[in-house]
Amino acid sequence: MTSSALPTLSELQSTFAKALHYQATGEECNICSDTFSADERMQIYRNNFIISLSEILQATYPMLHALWGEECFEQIARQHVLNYPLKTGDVSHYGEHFEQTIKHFSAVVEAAPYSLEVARYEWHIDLAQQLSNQISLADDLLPLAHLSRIPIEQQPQIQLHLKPGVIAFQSSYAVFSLQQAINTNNFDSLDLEQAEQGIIASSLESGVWTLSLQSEPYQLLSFLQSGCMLTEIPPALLAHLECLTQHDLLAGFSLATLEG
Amino acid sequence: MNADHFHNKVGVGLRSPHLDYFSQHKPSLSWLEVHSENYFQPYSAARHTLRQLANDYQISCHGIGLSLGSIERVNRHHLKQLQSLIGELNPFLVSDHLSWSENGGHYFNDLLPLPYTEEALNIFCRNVLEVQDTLQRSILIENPSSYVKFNHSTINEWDFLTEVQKRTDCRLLLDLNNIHVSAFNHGFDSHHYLNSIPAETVDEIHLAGFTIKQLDKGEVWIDTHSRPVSNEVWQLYQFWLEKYGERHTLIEWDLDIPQPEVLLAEASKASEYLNQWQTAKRKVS
Repeated sequence: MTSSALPTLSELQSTFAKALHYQATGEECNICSDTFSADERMQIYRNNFIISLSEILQATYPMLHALWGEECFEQIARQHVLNYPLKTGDVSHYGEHFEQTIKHFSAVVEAAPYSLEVARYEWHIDLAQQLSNQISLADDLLPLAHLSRIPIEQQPQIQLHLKPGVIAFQSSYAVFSLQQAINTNNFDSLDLEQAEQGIIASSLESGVWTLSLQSEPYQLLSFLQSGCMLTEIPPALLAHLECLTQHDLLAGFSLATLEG
Repeated sequence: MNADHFHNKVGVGLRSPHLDYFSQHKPSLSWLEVHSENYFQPYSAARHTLRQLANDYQISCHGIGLSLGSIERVNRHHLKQLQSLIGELNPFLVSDHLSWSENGGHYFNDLLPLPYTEEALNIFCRNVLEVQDTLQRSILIENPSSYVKFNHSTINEWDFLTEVQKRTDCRLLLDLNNIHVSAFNHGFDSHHYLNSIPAETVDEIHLAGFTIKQLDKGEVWIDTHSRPVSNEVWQLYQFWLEKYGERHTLIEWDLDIPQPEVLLAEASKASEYLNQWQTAKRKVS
């Protein structure tokens, strides 16, 4: 945009968007200066933009906010807002790739090396919500109660399906226990260096919940999540199906087409 | 809360911390306004709750993301989501802002200011017409609060808004707090603004609180919606009622959201203004 020509709306909005990211000044946006300079007035919009999206990040990453404290979280969130644009008008699920931003803060990663895994965990909690909010149960699935009606010759084709908001999650840190410790403010028995795995789930009826699992039920969950047929799952793991049904994680079943 | 507390023109902005309260206690308001975008996810708990509340309240869908002032055309996916929400809730009002919030596929989650030029007017009207055509209904356009003026603006905000209404046949939503805040920030007269708007095109009024930001060189008033309605804005409301009559009136509170009772007390206060105006009107006639 040249200083002599009046900016078109297209030029102005492009420059204004850059100015929100500190890549142009208020003067370049052709903002009037009076008591306050054009850039001081622009700064109000920069602040609103950064604060509003930082608040969304704080809602998505409450564990990191609790672990780092306000000042540290604000700094990292600010960096993320300036580098990762919001791509829809619906802000509720802004915050993907936060762990990439965290990686740039080497002092934080060094002091709290579990931060990247906590970020990944919290984003998966958000993902579980997104899945349960956006996808309805597939209506072509058969109810589990009909399993006993399937003739023996078709049983190898049975494919169990998890509900849309159910995610298997594994971490090299004890993130499930950490979440529990933060929620109860009791860190006494927490061994953060311990690897953990479990379920992240979200549904209309139960909201969002998480649960750490022993290795075998977790493996079963992972097999189901990857779309395996029952015959592809080691029989010893199938003994843990009851654990999954108890927690109401299964949406139903279908009969897969066998190849060959 | 007594059913007589609330005038039937008074509603409140329903925000997520109050969803459970409104579902359980059902305060005797006749209508609620929601931010449309917060209910776009079809299977979310919030959408489910709102669907149920729509059985007891009239709903107004207030958008913050159509970005009607953007040089780009309105995002079809966004519009489709809005259309789906409207189809489900049958809201009695649908509104958005005289602003923009998207550029090149990036959204800014804020109501950004437009230069008031003939070009911006054409673009804004193009987008409003497109939305109204898709939704097959008139929408309300709300005046924003602003902190900047552009050197190349050639039209006053009130004239710009009036012209948008004339060219698109949309309806208007006047936010009295926004007028009060912008009047201070830009040095115009709030009453002149109100008197310049064709009153018969106004279907809704917003009332909210603002914050004073003290800077080295002076004050800037920020439209935070984080406090009770100020006395000066109540006075503007009184002015509007006396001169132009009652309209659907909304109490908005978006930040530092208080206990529901505080919000409802503000709704009671708006009801008192409306009741007093009605009493005075009856006496005169």
